Amino acid sequence: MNEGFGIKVAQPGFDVNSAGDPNLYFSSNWPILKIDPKLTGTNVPLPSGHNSSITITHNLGYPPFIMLWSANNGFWPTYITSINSQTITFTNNSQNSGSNPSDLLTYYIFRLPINQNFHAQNIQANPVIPGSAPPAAGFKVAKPGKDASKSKDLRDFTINSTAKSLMVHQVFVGPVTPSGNINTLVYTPDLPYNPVYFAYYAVDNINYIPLAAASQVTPKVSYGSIANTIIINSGAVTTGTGSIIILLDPYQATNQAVVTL
Amino acid sequence: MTFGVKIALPGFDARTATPEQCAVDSRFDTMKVKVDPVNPNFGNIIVKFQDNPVIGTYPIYTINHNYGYIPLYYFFFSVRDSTANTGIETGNFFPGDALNFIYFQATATATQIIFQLVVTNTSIEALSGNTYAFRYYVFANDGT
Repeated sequence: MNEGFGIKVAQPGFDVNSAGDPNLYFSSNWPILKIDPKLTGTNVPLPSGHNSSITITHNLGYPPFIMLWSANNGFWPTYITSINSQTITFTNNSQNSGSNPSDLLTYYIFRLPINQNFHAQNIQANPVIPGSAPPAAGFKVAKPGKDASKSKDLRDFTINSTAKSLMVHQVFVGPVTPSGNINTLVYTPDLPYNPVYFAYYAVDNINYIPLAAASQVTPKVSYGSIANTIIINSGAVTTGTGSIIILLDPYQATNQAVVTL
Repeated sequence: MTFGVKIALPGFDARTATPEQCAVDSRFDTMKVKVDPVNPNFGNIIVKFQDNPVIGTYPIYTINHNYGYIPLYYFFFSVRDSTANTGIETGNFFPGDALNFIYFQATATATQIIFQLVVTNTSIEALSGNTYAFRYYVFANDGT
């Protein structure tokens, strides 16, 4: 641990001095994704109509990481059409044309800049998957006004070692530059597993949009396991800035259900 | 703050660190995923398509969370077996994104979430006989 200071908490059955990153519930080397309670939106109306939009002001001074859910669609970052240092815009683009139905949005804005490089220290990143057993001991930090000794509701806690909180390994920001016939930003994760990640792109270096991997059009993002690279592809014409948020979480968990259709 | 916990990231002083410079600041909530070996609140769902799959809506996984409220959840395509010998691709394949032969939907209540896969086009070569994986999280965060 950096400079010998800090806190690590391992899962039951693991020695905190040797546990791999995924075997830790918490390390003070890694920022937990922190939800700003003053910037949370619940059931915020998004008007009907093709490309109708709403803009919220956050004034954080940087484009923040955000998660968005839609009453109509579930987790739905597609509505996010601009994230900049002052505002976020949601656009009713669920269909390419016609009268899109109204919707209700729930969003969390996190105190994590997506335009600033950050790289947490690797402690021991061996790919052991967490969640093998409930903790017999642990720690918990209650929210202000909540009693950590009495509540069993996870919503009352900032951290509770019966749950894992999403933690950040890296924010990788860089220019999207010409590469052959397209423009790309290429990043190679330094974790020994395929990490969960999110990607953003700003054609004007200011207003970011989230990227999807399965998109048939650019800009898009993809990951290839052979080259072990995450690639933002902005297409043949546009350059700009890309941002990749890497979580300390393997993509392929051991908690697997198999279904045959 | 009067009470609470702040743990600064390496190189910062917890007494003066901003929220962005902290690993933990108890004034701020987090996305929590319950560790539950019986009803895993996060994991992968592997879907194996037989040859000639049929158009329809298929429940593929049910989580009995029993939170008493509808939790937020996150579900995305995580691994796709490639047919072009380029290896495994992962990524945030958004729920309604342009894999134009399948998409995802869910029925969520205060006690359970049923993840469903909707097959809309079976003529796509990439679907028949292939295996796809999906990643899910159910957060102990109120979505109502």
